[in-house]
Amino acid sequence: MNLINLTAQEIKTKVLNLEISPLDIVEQFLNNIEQKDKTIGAFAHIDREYAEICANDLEIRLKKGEKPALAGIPIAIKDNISRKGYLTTCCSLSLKDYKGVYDATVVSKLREAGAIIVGTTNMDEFAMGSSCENSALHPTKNPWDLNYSPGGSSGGSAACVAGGLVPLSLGSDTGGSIRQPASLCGVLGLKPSYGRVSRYGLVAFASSLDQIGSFARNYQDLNLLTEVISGYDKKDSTSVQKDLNLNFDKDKTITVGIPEEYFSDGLNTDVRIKVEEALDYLTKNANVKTIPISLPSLKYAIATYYVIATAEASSNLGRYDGMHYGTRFDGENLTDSFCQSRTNGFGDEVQRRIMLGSYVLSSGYYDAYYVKALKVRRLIANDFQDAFTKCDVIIGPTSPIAGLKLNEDVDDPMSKFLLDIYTVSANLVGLPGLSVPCGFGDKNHPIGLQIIGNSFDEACILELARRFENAGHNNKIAEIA
Amino acid sequence: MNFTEDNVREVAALARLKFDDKKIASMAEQMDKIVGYVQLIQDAPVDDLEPFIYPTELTNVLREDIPQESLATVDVLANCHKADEHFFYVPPVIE
Amino acid sequence: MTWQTVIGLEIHVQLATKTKLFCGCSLAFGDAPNSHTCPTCLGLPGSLPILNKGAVDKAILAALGLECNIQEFSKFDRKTIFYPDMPKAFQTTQLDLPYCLKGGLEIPLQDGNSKFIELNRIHIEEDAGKSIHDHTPEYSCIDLNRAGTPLVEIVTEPCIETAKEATTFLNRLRMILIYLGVSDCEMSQGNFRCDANVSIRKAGEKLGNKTEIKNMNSFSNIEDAINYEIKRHKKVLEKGGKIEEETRLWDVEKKQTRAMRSKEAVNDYRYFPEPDLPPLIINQEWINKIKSTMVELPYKKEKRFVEEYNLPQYDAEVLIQDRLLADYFENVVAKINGKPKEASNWIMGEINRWLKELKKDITSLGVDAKNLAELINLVGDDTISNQVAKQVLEMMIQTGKSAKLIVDEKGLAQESNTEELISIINKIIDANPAPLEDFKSGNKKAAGFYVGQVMKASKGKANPKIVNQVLMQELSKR
Repeated sequence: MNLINLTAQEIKTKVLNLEISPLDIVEQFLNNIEQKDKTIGAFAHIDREYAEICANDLEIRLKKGEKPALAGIPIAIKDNISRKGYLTTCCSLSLKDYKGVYDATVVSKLREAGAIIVGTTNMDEFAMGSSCENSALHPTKNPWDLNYSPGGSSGGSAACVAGGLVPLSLGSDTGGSIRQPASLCGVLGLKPSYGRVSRYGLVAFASSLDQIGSFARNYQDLNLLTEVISGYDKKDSTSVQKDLNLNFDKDKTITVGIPEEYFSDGLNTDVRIKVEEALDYLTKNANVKTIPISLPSLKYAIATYYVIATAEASSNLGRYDGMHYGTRFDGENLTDSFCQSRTNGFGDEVQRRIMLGSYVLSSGYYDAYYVKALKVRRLIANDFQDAFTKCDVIIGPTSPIAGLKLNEDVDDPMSKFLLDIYTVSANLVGLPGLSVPCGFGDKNHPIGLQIIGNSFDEACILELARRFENAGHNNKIAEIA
Repeated sequence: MNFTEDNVREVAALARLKFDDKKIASMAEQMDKIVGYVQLIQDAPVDDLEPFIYPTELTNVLREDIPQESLATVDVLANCHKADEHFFYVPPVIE
Repeated sequence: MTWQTVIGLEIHVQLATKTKLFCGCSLAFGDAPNSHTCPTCLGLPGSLPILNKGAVDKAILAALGLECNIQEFSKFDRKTIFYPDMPKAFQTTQLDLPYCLKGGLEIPLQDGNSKFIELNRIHIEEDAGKSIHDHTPEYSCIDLNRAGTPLVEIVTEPCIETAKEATTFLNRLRMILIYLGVSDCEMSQGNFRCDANVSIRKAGEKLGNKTEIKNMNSFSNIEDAINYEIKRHKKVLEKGGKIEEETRLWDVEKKQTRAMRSKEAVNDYRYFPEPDLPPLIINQEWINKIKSTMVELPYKKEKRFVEEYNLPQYDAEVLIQDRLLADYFENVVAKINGKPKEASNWIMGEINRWLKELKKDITSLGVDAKNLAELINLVGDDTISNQVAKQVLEMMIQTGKSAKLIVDEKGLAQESNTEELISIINKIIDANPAPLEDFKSGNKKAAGFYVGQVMKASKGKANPKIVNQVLMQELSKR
């Protein structure tokens, strides 16, 4: 039986019915991954041994009659999620040989749910980037077009789902790092509300913005994984005690706000057409009413994001000095060893962001940049608060472009900044955001539709994903030779 | 200029990064662009607004003062570049 | 014109909690290195902090004891420090919105006046780990057991004028914190550490450049270091020199301060709010709950001892030094028939001597308040003499037995049997006729010889009052 192209839901059913064994799954999926990942490079580390451990554990539990929620489903996790005893390198030279000392809460939850973790996925170093090209390991290719990037920073997680290597994966999203690659790879990617999924064990990039989320090829699978990873965790002080309840009134008319600013000049025509088609479909078939709204502070979002995210990052990444773990490069003395370890351990993009973050926090600049950015963050939050008095969700494009060519503008540090224009706001405000495939552009590159919900209202955006299912964009798998 | 080579040297020292002259020059050029771009926030009308620090409304997230098991020392030191069975070894600290 | 000295103190006090500030690792002094660590206090990638409620409770207690203004809203901030004993590369502390402002305490001055030492603030923060330099020559060794230990930093206003004032203040502060159970304040274990900021100026001039002195681990070090530094400032300034603002370490061997060698090239801590910790709200209800657990503060107790028990000021001062000893005193007073001063004499004298000699505290000495009261009462009702009582106390400490039991077992009760006394006295008079003659010729002091002999013969058990009475009676018969 060929399992590779099954949905997560189908695999689970077969496993619970004892039609297939967890070890069969490991065998088939790992063989497929080992072969096809040579082409796309979605994985940072393929862990057959770990997958077998997961499978054996599950086997025992199945015999006891347990029916865990993700039984036998192969899943890949981003390389910035800590796993006890296994490499967690953030695709950085500075953590090249670092093995996790403890399990992240999401890892514990996946294990508890009987998932089979097959390895970690490639990413921009420390999740800083939008193309996966900032990985210290290798670039990842977009399964739909090998000359193109899968997006980033969770590019590996998006690519391995799009290429049919796994039905599900986890990523992290600080400014669009789940939604943008989901869009570019033609899969669904959800960044939950801040506080919805425990960050315990997620290597911090920007603590007030980071959130772990899921990739899948259809909304049912996405819901399945989201339900498993969500929930209060006493190990994360920013974890919120609100239950995820995905039951939503199927007959309710959903009011969708269309922000004019999301359809302005910078938007690629293919993307505009597909997003408008999707909105048209929703209004005609999905009991959706659209209204125009305005998010006037959008123009400040990227700058605000860069100040806050890099400030927090400069602090979060201070610890990678090679003293207690990670790669050490010896210098002439202690301070020089700090400098050597950090300068040699980090790539250019990470260094630039640490520089910006250190600068905006330094004395004399703190108020002008950091405090100012926090105030603009409030302004942006107020925009969204106003909008949600008028509508249930906000819809627009996920990314202004349909395809991102590899090796383009690599010397221009600003070239990829604006790719985050539609996604960073959800992080700044803490809102849930979902990217759903809505077709392909002229060059056959996937395009994503972004649905941003009100705080802790994942139910509404996932309901829209359900109502959009019959538009026919789910379960697309790229053929990899 | 929003960001000079001297700025690069100062901030790099703060951040424990060390660049050669060529890198300093290219870094200054790149940082100048980036810092120039983020000036955008200076135009935002925010005078009356409170800084947005916390994305949740949580307060007083507290833990009872009850000991939990610590890690085994061998695991603590396993990832260290240089260690013995008790200590992390680092280049000499001078006071 | 003379110089004025301006001193401000920063005191780091380790809170007496069971676990660290942001993780559940237990606090243990002297355990194997790196045996009390976890992802959070090691700063491992992906780890997160959770605030210890017990630490906040203790911090509130400290604030109440020092009559500070507890702030309803406070938050935590990160302070960037690249140092191997600071594994996250930042210290979590409180910058612009600490949990506590103002407050202070009154100290007595040598001229008999008193002075209020005002606090600027108290904030909660975490401690660093330890660097060990003499383990191997080529490396420093890092032990992170102490990393993440909860501290409060108490910052005074620069209102202290002499080294003596500084140590008087510290003594009083320390006693309050120990009383309240905020901290053990063991300087030798580093859980009460003081840095001093010292500057001097001519009267009326603006503040001079200050130096910060660190590495003073006893009160005498602190006094010596401050005095040294004041002298050094004067010397430099009187020669027309300039004081560099810097951190200096006290060298206890050489009895001098020296500039720290590893001064950071640039000192910019890049503080910003800690996004991983939601703000702390301390409401009145929480404060009241802590207040209800508070014990009497030492200087209130001192005053009460003088008023309520009629003790001399000196006695009260000595007794309150240790809260347990003060409680012991009160328990003894409640059970004795005599005056409180008698209990005070015993505790300040014999009990204190034994505590010092045996290096014990009052709870482990083996003589509880009831037993000491019994002993004091035995002296009071003339069952034993003061002299014998001291021996009995020693036996009580050695055996743990009660005073009465020892007196009975050893037959130490004073002789009150007059018939036996009469016979002893007459035998002694007969054997020593000379003093009798003296006595008869009017030298009443000559009787003293017989008293001594009788006491000797009774091995001290004779009650001297009764000996005197009977002796006079017998002498007058001759």
